Amino acid sequence: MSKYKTGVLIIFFAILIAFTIFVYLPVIDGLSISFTDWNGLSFDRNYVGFDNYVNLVRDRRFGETMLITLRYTVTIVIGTIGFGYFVSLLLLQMKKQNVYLSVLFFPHLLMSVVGCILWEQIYNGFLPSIGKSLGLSLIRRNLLAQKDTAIFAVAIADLWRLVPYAILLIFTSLRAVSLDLIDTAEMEGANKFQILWHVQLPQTLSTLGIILTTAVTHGLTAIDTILIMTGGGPARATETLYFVVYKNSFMRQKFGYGLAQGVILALLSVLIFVLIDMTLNRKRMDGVEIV
Amino acid sequence: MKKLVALMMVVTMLTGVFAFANAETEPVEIEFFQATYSHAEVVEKIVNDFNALNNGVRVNLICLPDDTSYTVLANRIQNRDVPDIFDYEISQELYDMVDMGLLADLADKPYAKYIKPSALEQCEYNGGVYLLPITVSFMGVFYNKDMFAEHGWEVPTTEAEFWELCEQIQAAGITPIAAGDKTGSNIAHWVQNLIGIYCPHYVKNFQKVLQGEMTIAEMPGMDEVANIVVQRTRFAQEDPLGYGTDEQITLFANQEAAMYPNGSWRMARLNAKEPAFEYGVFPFPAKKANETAFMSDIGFPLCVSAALTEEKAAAVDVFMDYMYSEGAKYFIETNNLPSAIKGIEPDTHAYESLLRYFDEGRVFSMPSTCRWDAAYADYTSALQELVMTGDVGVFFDEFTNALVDAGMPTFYRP
Repeated sequence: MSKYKTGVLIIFFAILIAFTIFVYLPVIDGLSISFTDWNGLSFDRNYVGFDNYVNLVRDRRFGETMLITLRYTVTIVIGTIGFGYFVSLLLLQMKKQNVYLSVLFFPHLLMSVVGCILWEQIYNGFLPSIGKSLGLSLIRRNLLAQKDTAIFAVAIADLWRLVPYAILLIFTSLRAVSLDLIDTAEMEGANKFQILWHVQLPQTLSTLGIILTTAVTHGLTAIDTILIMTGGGPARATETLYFVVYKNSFMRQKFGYGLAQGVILALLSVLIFVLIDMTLNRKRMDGVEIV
Repeated sequence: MKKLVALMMVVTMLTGVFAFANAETEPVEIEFFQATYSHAEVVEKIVNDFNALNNGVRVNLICLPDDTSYTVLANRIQNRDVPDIFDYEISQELYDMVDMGLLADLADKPYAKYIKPSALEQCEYNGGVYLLPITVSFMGVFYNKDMFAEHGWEVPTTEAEFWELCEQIQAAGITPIAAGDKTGSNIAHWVQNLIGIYCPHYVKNFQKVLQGEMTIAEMPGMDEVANIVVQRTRFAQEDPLGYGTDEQITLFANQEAAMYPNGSWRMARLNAKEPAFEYGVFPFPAKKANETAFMSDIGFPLCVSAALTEEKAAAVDVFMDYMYSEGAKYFIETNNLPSAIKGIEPDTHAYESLLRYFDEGRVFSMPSTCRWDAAYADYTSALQELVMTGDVGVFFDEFTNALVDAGMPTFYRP
């Protein structure tokens, strides 16, 4: 075996060992705790079989939590890709694109806590005052304080930081689309929408796949924004599945149960990512060229 | 041979000299994990002053924001990495820690003699004392003294007078009550105060709820508690669930609201926000004036790890002695909080009217210290639901479920 191959193998096994210690072993430990009644503090961990999982299915709030998680994740995904694509297309028409790009990317560089405080002030004072002066009932009240709107309000505050990242990736990807292809499409009489649908979108599908994965991951695992802006409230309205894992583990001292929910969340994430991957692969097989 | 002996003597002497020099330059380091962020600056000053004494002990202070600190502390305790000194509330976890032998018994420590007997009594558990307080906390209604004087409003002595006062304040175009219900503990603590006033035998009855023999709806006095919350919401600013502690304090300190129900633990933040602001405190009144009482517990209690080396334990004793003498004096006088320490009495003019209640024993401990920590988050959510919808029936169901779902084996005040 050459020295190069030996070196590669050593590095690979070093990474594998690190992964085993820092990722796989804690995951296995977490999985084993999900079959116990551990409260997170005591020395005893009593094996309870599948009780935590059975209780999870029976939990009358589980469906509600899943619905909140779904709303949040869908808002994040649609918002990130939709706004990201729309703004990127606009940017393509502008001069001094790099200047605008820098300005638009700025929110992504801010700490999430800064964004949360800023948006709290917007929801608490700025928007209601506009709503009152213009007679817009939707924003007359603090959106974070209403059960129906709180989760969307938190998602918007998150989008403020996520969309710039999406713009950067989509815009770069759109700039890489061959101008010859667009010129040809135009010569053949395609309008702007047709060019977008048949040329630009397929050519940027790989990038969209990356953004979709990032957005879904964020939607399923976001907790900092929720903790800072609402603490899961008002009245559980912003308790996503990930937040509930935290709440059960640390606030309700039900570590075993919390980790059972964590396992479900992990399985759900894997399922979604497999679906995304399968969809993108099907597109490839359908003959769509991916950049 | 002589040379060898001489050499050994020199080596021995040098070792002794170096060891001594080392002892002088290398103080014993102990860790103080401060979980309650609201007193951060005051404690930092105390620790810095102590470290400046250079008495062979160095305290490393760790202070994180409230939510983070309890999570970090819980993680450390799970890994049996208990900080040398840390502050903790009387709670289910605290007694679990005692039961697991993680905390040192402080009953016979010399600095325990600084604590007032009434405060020390609250810290006893299974024949030991595992935490020592510096202050005594109280729950009350803070009010704007100048605003009250200007409008000729009187401090209410009955519940009926309280609502009448709210009507008058509202009629004057001022928000009667600043609410901060987004921070769940604000309303949760206040409602516990109401439970103590309006629900007789609440410990016994909560026990029945837990055992499925009673629901919250059937608990005597709970109807009144729920209706007071609904009524309070009517007199609070719009969207109380959009306001957390800071916004609530700001509303009150900026004179946009006349009253502010909360605990003495928020006084430090209020004082820092508007140092010149003249406020008073009265207890939330019961139906009859002579039934009025309020919630009072020990404040800023410190615990010590049971797993200290002899050297560290001695160093902790040195610091704790300082903390409960000079440190406590600075802590209490700066925050102007009721003292748990003998011989240290702060400026009490803001809450002077409460002092006689202390003297008459018209105070009670927080009901949630009856081991309902695991239900606390859901109880808070149930209250937020009540604030939002005003639906008392749903609140009762949610509160009952919170207690039952928590699956607590016992429900008692140890």
